[in-house]
Amino acid sequence: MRYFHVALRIACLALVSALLPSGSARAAQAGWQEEWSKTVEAAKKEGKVVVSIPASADLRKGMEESFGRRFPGIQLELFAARGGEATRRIVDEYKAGVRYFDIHLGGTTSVVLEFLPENMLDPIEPYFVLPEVKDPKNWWAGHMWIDKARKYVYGFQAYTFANVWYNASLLKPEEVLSYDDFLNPKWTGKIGILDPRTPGAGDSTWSYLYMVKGEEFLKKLVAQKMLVDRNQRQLAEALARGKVALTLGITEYTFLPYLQAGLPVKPLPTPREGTYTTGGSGHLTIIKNPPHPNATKVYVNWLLGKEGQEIFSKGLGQGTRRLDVDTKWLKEVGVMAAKDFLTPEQFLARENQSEEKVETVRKPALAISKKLFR
Amino acid sequence: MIHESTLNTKARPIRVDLAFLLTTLLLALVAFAVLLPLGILIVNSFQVARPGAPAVFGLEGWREAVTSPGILSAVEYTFSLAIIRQIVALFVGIILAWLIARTDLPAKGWLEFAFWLSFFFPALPLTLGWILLLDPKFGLINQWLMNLPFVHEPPFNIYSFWGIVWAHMTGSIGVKVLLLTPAFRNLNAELEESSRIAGVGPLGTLFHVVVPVMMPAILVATILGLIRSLEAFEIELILGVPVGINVYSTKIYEFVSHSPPHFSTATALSTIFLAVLLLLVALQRLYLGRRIYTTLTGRGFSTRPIALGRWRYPAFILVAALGLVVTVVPSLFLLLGTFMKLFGHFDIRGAWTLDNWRHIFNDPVLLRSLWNTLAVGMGAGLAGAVLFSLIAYVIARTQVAGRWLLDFLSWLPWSIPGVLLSVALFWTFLQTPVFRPIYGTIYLLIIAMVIKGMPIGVQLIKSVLMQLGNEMEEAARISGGNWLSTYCRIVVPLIYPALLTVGLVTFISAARDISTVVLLGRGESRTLSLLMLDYTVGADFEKATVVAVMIVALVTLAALVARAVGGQISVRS
Repeated sequence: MRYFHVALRIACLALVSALLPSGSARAAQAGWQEEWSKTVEAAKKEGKVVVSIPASADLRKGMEESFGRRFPGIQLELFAARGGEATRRIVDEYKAGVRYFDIHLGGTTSVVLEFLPENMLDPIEPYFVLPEVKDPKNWWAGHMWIDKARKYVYGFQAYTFANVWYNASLLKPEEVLSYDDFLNPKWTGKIGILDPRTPGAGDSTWSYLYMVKGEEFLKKLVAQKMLVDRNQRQLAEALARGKVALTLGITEYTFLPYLQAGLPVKPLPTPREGTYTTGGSGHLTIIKNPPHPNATKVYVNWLLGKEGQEIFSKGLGQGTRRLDVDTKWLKEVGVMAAKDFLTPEQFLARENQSEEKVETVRKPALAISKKLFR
Repeated sequence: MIHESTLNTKARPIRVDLAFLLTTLLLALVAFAVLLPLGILIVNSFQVARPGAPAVFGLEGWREAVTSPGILSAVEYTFSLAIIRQIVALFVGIILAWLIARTDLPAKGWLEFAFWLSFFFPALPLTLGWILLLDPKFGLINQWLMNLPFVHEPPFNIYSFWGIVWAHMTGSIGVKVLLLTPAFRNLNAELEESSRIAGVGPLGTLFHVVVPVMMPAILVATILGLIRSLEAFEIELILGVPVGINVYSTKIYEFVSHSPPHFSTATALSTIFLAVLLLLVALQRLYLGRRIYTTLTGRGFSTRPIALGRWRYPAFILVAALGLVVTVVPSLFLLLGTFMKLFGHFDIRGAWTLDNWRHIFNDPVLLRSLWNTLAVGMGAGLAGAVLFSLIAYVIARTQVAGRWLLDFLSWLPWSIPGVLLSVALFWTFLQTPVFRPIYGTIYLLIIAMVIKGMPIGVQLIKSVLMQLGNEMEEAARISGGNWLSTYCRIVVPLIYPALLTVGLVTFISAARDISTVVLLGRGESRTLSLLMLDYTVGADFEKATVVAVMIVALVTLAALVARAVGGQISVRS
């Protein structure tokens, strides 16, 4: 019986020690907690963090409310603007020695074409503190980098979406099964496109068409006398009113109020040549030597945590790569998060946002658009 | 620099020093505020290196500006749209200003106020209102007219040359009434009475006596209007670009929006525009320099209105109807838009909502934006009124050498389209160490708005001062008053209604301006107009319209206050 008790004790001890973190693990846990506490305290002393975000009032409002509740001593100052406008300003300030921005979030074209040549970014991984952010297992496809050096531009979203929409009273979806069908004379003057000369979904769509169909196709497409606009809402309005039958490069979120109002706008089933995959506006960059380094660290860990990713995903209607954030609801607005539908290989085969793709696909496509749309 | 009075410096050393010092100081200040941004822009028109690369200078930007396909058509549209708008607005504006200022038209104070308001309304939401009424496919007026048996196709198309002219009429007529009515009001009625006694009819009096005497104000209004027309942007972008009507400013916007932006091309185009402006300013100076336009002297002043007789009420109905069309109709649609789920869609289910207002009132940055707007508007209004009056006084009332240069420099901020002025000021403030401590604060926005408002502020006060005879100042000097005391105790009290109005116009411009401050504002210094831009860029037109209504309410309130305390572009009688 005595042996039984001893054996039982040993078994219990073994079980407890197996369940509790090991010594080194405990030390690691204590390490990040201590670092986090110190960082938050230092951030409070810095007072604020300045972040450039995509132009969305919903996103701005959501972030301000949520971050403010979570870290009451740290002011989140947000600058909402179109990607190209924000990056130009950040570059000019950086070159003039004005240290104002800590972080920029947005698409990759402006970042690759304007930030990377200036060598003005900090490596991101040293800013990861919380294990839930650091651990690649929490992310679909692990940590994903846009730049070739794999340390300056972090992509936290991956998704695909219906980027061709049609007016159901003017067009039947079976009339456009391939991108070649855009060239049908029936659609002359009836196609709208978000200006591909400026960064955004229009530029992404145009680049994908260049990638899969080539320059000659683009020339024929421009000959279709497309309605070119820089304002997504105006193009969505043109489709809803039947001024155009098809739009290219308008994000699903813009159509949401039209769908809710029961107007005849619908996403076109993906043409047979497929569509591109993207990280949308979900790319994080940290300006070199940020003025508020600790507050920057706090913000990065909040943004890449569950709460930050939920806010960002809801604010813009784009799909995060974080595995613990629900993205199924995005299907209602025509967005499919990569983690729900694709393998990493499928995603990478069709992306056109990485530094490599910006240089090999987007830059030539941009040059063609500037030539053709004068 | 030699002042005429330097010949008498032994007798009156203090007076000479003050005038000379003031002019030198103003010249230095205006040259710094105006020439530096302009110089930076011109230098950048030759800078062709890509981002990250060392500076390379060349003519690539100029070549692209001149050879870019579509540029000739853009120039043609720019000038034809500007000239036609000015002709129509000037003709209508002169008649309205005359009716309001010189006749016994009923309720003329309120009619004048209505046209004032039309000038202050933000262009973007009003254009959306006109689209709603005049779109060829769904415009409400077109639809109503199509119900008539003899109308077979939509009679109006807002997306056209004439559609753009029409959409601009609200602001163009408003600014003419704003500038011309007070000047007409300052006209001594004795001139008209003498003309009538000599047997000339009312129309003959208007065109042979009133218009020639009013020429400084008419010319200023025309040139200001022409320059503003040449750089018009938002309406052309919305109504013109989709149908292939590009103008000079939309081409500049196109070059600036590229990634990376083609600043060299945009600034080269802007420099060409600067040459056109200089020509217009030179013409104006040539014309005004040889004439005397004094209408108010120390001898007394008669403002008896002309009786319209049986035309009084028909004229009232006509003016009131026009006032309604340019103010009430668009503002009604602006207000309606704030309660719509989807702007312009009346026939959807659940078309009306209070959610837009609820959302805006719950926006945590609303109060801060409102405060920033008030601070920037009041700061710019106050600083502008003081600075502009000093500049105008030196130009119009002194013989200091170099005053022509001051006059010339004060025009220049309007030679740069808003979208580029913002870039130029941004570069200037960024690269000038003295501005660094206030970079990103609302003080910088105030400075920017004072620079932007300089042409209209200085020209308005100058045109009033030119109508003021010099007997009163001479009397003050004979009584022992020096230059400064004469300015403070005689001139300022006489022109204070005009100063109030200039302060108000600067306040209102600051309250609704987007293009000048868009690059200078930060999260903390965001104004209501930048908040509106946030919503517009985020494709949330309905919520942007709520903010637009708030801006309109704010400027209407400011206009009412100014009206209550007697603000107008005139001297006190």
